Amino acid sequence: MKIILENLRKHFEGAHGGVDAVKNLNLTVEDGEFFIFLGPSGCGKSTLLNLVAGLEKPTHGRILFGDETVAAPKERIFVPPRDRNVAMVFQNYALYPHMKVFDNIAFPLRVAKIDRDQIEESVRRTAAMLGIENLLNRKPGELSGGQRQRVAISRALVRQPRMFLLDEPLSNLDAQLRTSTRTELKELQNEMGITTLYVTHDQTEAMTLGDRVALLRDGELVQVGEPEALYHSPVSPFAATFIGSPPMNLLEGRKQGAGTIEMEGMEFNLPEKQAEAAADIDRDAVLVGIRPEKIQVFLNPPEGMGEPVEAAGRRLILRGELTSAEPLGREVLYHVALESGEVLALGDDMGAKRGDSIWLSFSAEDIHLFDAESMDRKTREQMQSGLSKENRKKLRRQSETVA
Amino acid sequence: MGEETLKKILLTGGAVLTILFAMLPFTYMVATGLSTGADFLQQGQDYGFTLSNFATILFAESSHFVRYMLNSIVISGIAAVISVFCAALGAYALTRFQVPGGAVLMLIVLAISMFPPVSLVSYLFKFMTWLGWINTYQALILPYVAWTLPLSLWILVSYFKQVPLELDKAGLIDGASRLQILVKIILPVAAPGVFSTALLAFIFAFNEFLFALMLTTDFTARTIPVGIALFQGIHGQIPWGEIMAAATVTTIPVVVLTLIFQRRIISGLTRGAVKE
Repeated sequence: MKIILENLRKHFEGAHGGVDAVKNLNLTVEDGEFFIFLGPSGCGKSTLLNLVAGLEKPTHGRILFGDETVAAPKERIFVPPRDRNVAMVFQNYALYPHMKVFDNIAFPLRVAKIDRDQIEESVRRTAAMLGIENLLNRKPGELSGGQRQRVAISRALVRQPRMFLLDEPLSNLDAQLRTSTRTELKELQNEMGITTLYVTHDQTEAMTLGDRVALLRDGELVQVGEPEALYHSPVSPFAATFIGSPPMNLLEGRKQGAGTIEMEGMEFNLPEKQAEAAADIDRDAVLVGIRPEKIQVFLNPPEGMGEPVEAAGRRLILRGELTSAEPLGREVLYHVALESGEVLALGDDMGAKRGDSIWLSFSAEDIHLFDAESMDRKTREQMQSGLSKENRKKLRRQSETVA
Repeated sequence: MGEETLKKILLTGGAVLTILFAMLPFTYMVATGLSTGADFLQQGQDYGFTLSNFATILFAESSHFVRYMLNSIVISGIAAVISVFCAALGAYALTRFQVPGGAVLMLIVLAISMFPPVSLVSYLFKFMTWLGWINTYQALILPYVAWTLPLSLWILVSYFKQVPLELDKAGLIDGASRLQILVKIILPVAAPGVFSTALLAFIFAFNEFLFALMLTTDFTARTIPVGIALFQGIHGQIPWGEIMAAATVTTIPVVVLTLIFQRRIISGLTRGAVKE
């Protein structure tokens, strides 16, 4: 089922003035697509999901399922959730605690007054698909988190809905279970070919699961595209730092004539692609972005140090001081202080200590250029704080499971 | 002596004193009901164990005690069920929808429950006379529902607030109507609250005296508190033994109900609904 959102707006009236949770949003989700809404908390992604489900009424705009308009406040059209035939899985599962697993899964069918034998058959088939046949007589309170999650998914799938809505379904699972469930979810969706909207704040989930990802912020679309596109060509400093872990480094630079950038006391020519991006920026002040995984780390000055960087493809080399090194298992995350700020870089363990001189080398082909003015306060704060504690832990867990 | 020991002694002593204080009237009531003479505590009086007081109130035609009991149970039971159901509808709306002035509404409801019943009883009498309901069950059920509704509403609102909103959302997505969600999901999940509210409403109505006195005229609708109070006139002297026997029997339905529901009033029934 194709989902079309047109000029969608959702306004919430609060005690301290109103707030627009979704601002004039336009989006089309193709039939059978696994589509991710990604963004930090408060970006409106859950509201968006509730609007599609019919749990919230839009303030303005239109929602279409295929050709059918399910919500259009101007024309006073609002199809209630029970008539939309959508299924939803909630972050905290929302199982009915007084009912056995069987009755939980059967609930949507019973409400729809489907006959007994057919309910029995559907429930057993769905439970078998999720591998929870042996739990049908238990109550939700007797299940582990992962099992509850499966029950919630079974309940959502049992009546063959038109689309599948998931609101941070993995965030309450522990790290290992999250990784395996992620894989299963992807396979399940592939098999069923059902249009899926998936809300998450975790960019790893977004990158691994999504056919396409919509990055949201403050109720607005920042960027929509395939995960690779978001990773390789972020449109703004926010997109650049939100996607990828650890986040992209942003360094201040200045344009010096066409295709030349001055940064950290050195000048270099831009390769063709970057030069085009630089030409689109009106101001001289730019931000130079480079992903930590694209930087090579050296304890001694590498070859070519001190030579002018001119030719495209030549590597840029910067010297800095190590402020901390965090072992992540497979590799080490280096925090390196440069003149204009701190840079994160991933590299092998070299036994470097705090205070050591570090040389960083990266290709001009790998840099991203942004207008310095497009860097707003929030992104700046996010950058300055570097990695939040939570992010760091997550990162460590991830590389442990990989290693 | 260690501090822990002292604490323990004080705690146990306090508990024993509290139990004694609470149980003494009850014990006296049971003892008097089983005695031949009500003044057995005075010097020179024998206790004289007997079951005749109980036999009289239960089997003597003229006492109408069994009928009072039946009236009380039916009236209080129906009043409690209606009260809890109405309160559940209200509590659901107040906790699930953005009712304009919801908080004010709750306070008004609370204020209404502060009205002294004696200020209403004369009007109520006229009203019931006009309806022709004097000495009927409904004459008591209606005011009891009104009287217990504020209490029920306040308790249920506090219980419903604890039921996660995601359950409502899940219900809506699963295709249930709001009423189905209330009956099939919220009420069972909030069962401890619902049962304790019903029990409180029942006890409230069961013990009520003033309305029952004014709005009934004989055993067709008279309830136990009034029945017991009016026992005296029959034999010329105050039949303490029979009154105490009747009072003892009266406690049985309440005790039984509490015991039955006690298993339901345990908390933790929402375990497993959502992950906190």
